[in-house]
Amino acid sequence: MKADLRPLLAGALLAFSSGCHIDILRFRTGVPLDREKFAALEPRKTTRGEVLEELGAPQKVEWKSGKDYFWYLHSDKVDTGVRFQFPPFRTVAGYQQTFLRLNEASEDTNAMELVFGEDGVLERKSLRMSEAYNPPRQDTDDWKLHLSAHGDYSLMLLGDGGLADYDDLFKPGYRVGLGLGWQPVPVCTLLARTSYQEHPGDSIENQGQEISVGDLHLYGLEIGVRLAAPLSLLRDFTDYENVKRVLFEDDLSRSTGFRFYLEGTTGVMLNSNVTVKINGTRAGNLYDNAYQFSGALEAGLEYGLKWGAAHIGITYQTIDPFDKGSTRLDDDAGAFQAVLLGGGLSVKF
Amino acid sequence: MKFSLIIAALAAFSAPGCAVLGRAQKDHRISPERLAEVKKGMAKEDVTRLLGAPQEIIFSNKEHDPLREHAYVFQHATTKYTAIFFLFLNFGNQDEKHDRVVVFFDDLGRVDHVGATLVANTAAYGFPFGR
Repeated sequence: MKADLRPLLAGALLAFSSGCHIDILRFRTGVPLDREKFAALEPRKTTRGEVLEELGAPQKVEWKSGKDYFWYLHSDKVDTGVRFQFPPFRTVAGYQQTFLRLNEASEDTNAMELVFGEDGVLERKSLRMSEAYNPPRQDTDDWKLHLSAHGDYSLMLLGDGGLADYDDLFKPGYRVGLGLGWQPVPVCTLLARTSYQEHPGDSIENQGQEISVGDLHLYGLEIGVRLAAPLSLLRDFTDYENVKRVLFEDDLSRSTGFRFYLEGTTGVMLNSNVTVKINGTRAGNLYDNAYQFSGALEAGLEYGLKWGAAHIGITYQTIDPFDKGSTRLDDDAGAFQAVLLGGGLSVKF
Repeated sequence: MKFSLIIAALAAFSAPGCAVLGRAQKDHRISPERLAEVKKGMAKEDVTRLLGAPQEIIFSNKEHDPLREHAYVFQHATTKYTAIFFLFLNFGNQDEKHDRVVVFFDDLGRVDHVGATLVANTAAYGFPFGR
């Protein structure tokens, strides 16, 4: 990708992505119903007083023809959608027209109906609950912390390094790092990560001279977010009951098995001085050390275990152009881009 | 100024917000201490003295006494809203819980049974995932 086009494409992507929104909404009312407590109620034996003692006040009460009707209700509405808006940026007046919205919503009202006779004894009972619904677990965690280590190998380097393409100036290198993540829900983890990256310098022929470039060392600090979902979500994506079951009833204590993930990070990268030699004689620095903005997108597969996870993925990394050095050679570089393949391990607690 | 700084500034302007937390409460809270004083056999006036006017009265439509007050309903609701905005991915969650008391009266107008669920304070902020 030419460095001249990249900022324009990035700006266009930003402009249009800000006019595109994915919304995941949920509305819950009341206390979840308990199947076991319902099963324990015995028609012609359990009294109204015992039910009130065990289940509390019903959401709805009616008296008809000498009978008491109780309803215990729990409502759970899920709404997911994609909005496309124009203009992409909200105007000064706050106006932004939604010209297309794709939406899927599901509202479940789980209900327990009890009917008592004039003597206050239960005559009949019935229960209606969503297929995807299970009683809430009492021992699930509210959040998890992750400590991770990762390593990557660069498959290719892209971009104009000034003197030549980065692919010609440097050999494939590696990246290693440590990270800390905070996971409030199985699907989302907020990340902070440090990394060290190294690309050995290479030699090129330029106008009859042999140009040797020194090693490139990069020290990074990035933050970002990782979204992950079980592979079973892809299998039955059109079955909304299954989507709900997988996404909304997954919990941190039982988040195991294969998941696909998408991760985005941004941060700063410090590059070392990169020396250059012409025919074996030192000719200054090709790039001086400086801080640059960096960003990365990663996609891959992870396997979750009770104590942590292992993942493998492919990363596209971009770093702002390096600062010009002291050499008289062409050191007006474009953005440094790399495609990396790697994996890592994390421990959660 | 580097182009990336411009992009970062545009990203900041394009994001409508970062996070929203809100809470709404409806009707008066029900005092557990006052509720504990409501006993079987108590008169309706004593119930309303302790808990206030009911939000709803359930009438029993018996032929000989069509306007007999069968039960009083007292209710309070707490709703907590959470919204988190990333650049193009938004999460929203609303959790509504109620304090609800139903006081049943017998044919003589005396307290027969009391049903109470006091869970309004368990409404929580959070992501729209999990149970």
